[in-house]
Amino acid sequence: MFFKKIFTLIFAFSFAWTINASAKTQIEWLQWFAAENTRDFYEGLVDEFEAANPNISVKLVTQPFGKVRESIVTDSAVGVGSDVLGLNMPWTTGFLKSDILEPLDAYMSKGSNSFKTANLVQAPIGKINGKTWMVPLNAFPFVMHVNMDLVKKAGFSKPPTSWSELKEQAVAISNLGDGISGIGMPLSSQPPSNGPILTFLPLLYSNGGRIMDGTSPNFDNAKVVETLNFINDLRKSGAMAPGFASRTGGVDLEEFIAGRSGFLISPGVHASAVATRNPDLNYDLVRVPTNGVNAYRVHGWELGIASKSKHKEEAWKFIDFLLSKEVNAKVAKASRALPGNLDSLDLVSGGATPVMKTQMNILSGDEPVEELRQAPSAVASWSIMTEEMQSMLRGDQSAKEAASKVQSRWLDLIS
Amino acid sequence: MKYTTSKEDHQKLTNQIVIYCVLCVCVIIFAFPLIWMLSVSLKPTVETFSLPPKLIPSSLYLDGYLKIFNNDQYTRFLLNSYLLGLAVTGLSVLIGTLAAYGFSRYRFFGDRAAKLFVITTQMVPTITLLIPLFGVIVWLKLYDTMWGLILTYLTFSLPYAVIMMNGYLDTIPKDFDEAATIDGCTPLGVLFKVLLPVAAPGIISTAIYTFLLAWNEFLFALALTRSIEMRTVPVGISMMVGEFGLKWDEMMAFSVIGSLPVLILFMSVQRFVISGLSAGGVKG
Repeated sequence: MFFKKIFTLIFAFSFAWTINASAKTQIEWLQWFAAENTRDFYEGLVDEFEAANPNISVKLVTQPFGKVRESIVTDSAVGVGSDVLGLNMPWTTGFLKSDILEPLDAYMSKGSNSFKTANLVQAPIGKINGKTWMVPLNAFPFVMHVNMDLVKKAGFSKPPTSWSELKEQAVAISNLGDGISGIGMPLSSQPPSNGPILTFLPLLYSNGGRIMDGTSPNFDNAKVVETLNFINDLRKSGAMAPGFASRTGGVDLEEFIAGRSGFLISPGVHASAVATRNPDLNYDLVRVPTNGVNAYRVHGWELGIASKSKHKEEAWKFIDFLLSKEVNAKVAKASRALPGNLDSLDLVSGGATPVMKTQMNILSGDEPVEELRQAPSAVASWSIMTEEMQSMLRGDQSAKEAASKVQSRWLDLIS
Repeated sequence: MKYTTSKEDHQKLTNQIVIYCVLCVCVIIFAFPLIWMLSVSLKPTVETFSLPPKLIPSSLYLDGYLKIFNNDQYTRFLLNSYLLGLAVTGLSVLIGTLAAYGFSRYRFFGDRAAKLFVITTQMVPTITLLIPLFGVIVWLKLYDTMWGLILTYLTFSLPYAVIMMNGYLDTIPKDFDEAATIDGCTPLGVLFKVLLPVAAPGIISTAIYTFLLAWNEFLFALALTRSIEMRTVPVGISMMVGEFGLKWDEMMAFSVIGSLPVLILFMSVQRFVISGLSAGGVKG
């Protein structure tokens, strides 16, 4: 009789536990954001979400940035993929080919959403194949970081605003000697080999140029050639840091922080790295010098849902939480970026650092551009751009020839 | 006669000078990355990229180390690496020794084919096994578990352990076995009481190799785990390479912390490793 009672109790507890366990849905969020900022911040976000949604638990899966793309592909192929995916716009078409992403249109049109679609940063939500595949968590506009001490030492009172001023100041800074250069051009072939999208594209956009015509490559146009000629001119005039073919984006940043280069074209998010690692640097942040057009390359951290997810509604609920005004403002502050939900701008600007405010002022009236999201095989195309630009800077071919070769190789790549 | 001796001495001295010069160059080449790693871990990043480069930091900067020690996550990575290394080493040595004992002391149907198969597994590039092993580990429901990694690493370390121990046991005369058997030892008694004490250098070198393999492995540790709780030191270091920059000081501090135990371990049993490798390794 005693044992019967014990067994009944155990059974009852087990049943209750099972019911409780099965009532709670677990979703996974694969991202690299927690490796970039503090992990505690993202765990806090998850805790906040779970407190508001007791039936959903979120497992934070953090991968190093360089491995996230491969992880998403292999996890999906093997069937262990996460539900909510941290995404990078250039990965889009590759993922669509592998049917990894779930279209978000139905979710975005829900009346219960915490945000208005019109208030989101528009670049990531543009339709491909007639559908929306991702939403912006935050946005990193490309700007130019300036070492004001070097600018002044070279005889100038303010940072350059045009290409001609950029060249003039960069040459003068390089002439200071002591291993100091005007500007770096990170064209290393080492993966991710993404130097051209860090430096060439922001200059091209400030020249009013584009590399795509919709989803088709359009690299051999006059604006591209003009921009390539400008970069070649920077090298010939001695404005460019030596070793462009082995220089990575990371080295470019570190040399700027160490005070070894006058200008750095990169996302505005680097402002915090500069400020924290070298507080003594007399530093400013300006719009990328233009050649007539105020446009900037916009990059960011995006979110999507895996097509194989078994908990898409719960995944969307979590994304909706991340895009809500207050939460998105917190994410923007933690990642030192602009919010993906522009409705959060006032909350971000409220406690923003002077550098962030400057960034917001610079960019408030300019045109954001992002072409890589719709580019076929965007990642492979970076390498082609890198190789042909290296060849041009070595003097093996002209800007026009480099543009033609990139165009032809891109067409081969997608054929 | 005296002249000849002097000439020989002179020749000997010259040879020694040349040998030491070459050794010094080798030491500099091999030690420099380690010294630079230590140097970078002890200075702020801005100094790492200063020109001209400074090997000795202008002041001692311990932020990298403090960040590592104050973060539970990194402690967890270290603990995981130790657990993984010890488990793989223990299992490889145990199973490898038993298998090697069978190959060395007994003739049975298919023994040569089995031995050849074990050797052949060493010729397959490990990268080609990533996808099949990924599938198997997921199928076994061992994805994102320590057992999944242990099982995977055993597929690489075990053949090596068998080959090494087989080679070493072959160098021990069978007279030992016969004498122990006459004294009443069982086959396992012969192995554990007689052969293993003699084969200690072989066991140590096998253990060191398998421990290093598990400690340094990156690709499978990254692919077969996803929780922070399951990550190892190499994956933890790679997570310091971010989208917008590298945490040089933390990365190098963690590399130093990760390297030191292995370095100390290797230096303390170095003579066994060399004798173990030279005695068993060449016989295959």
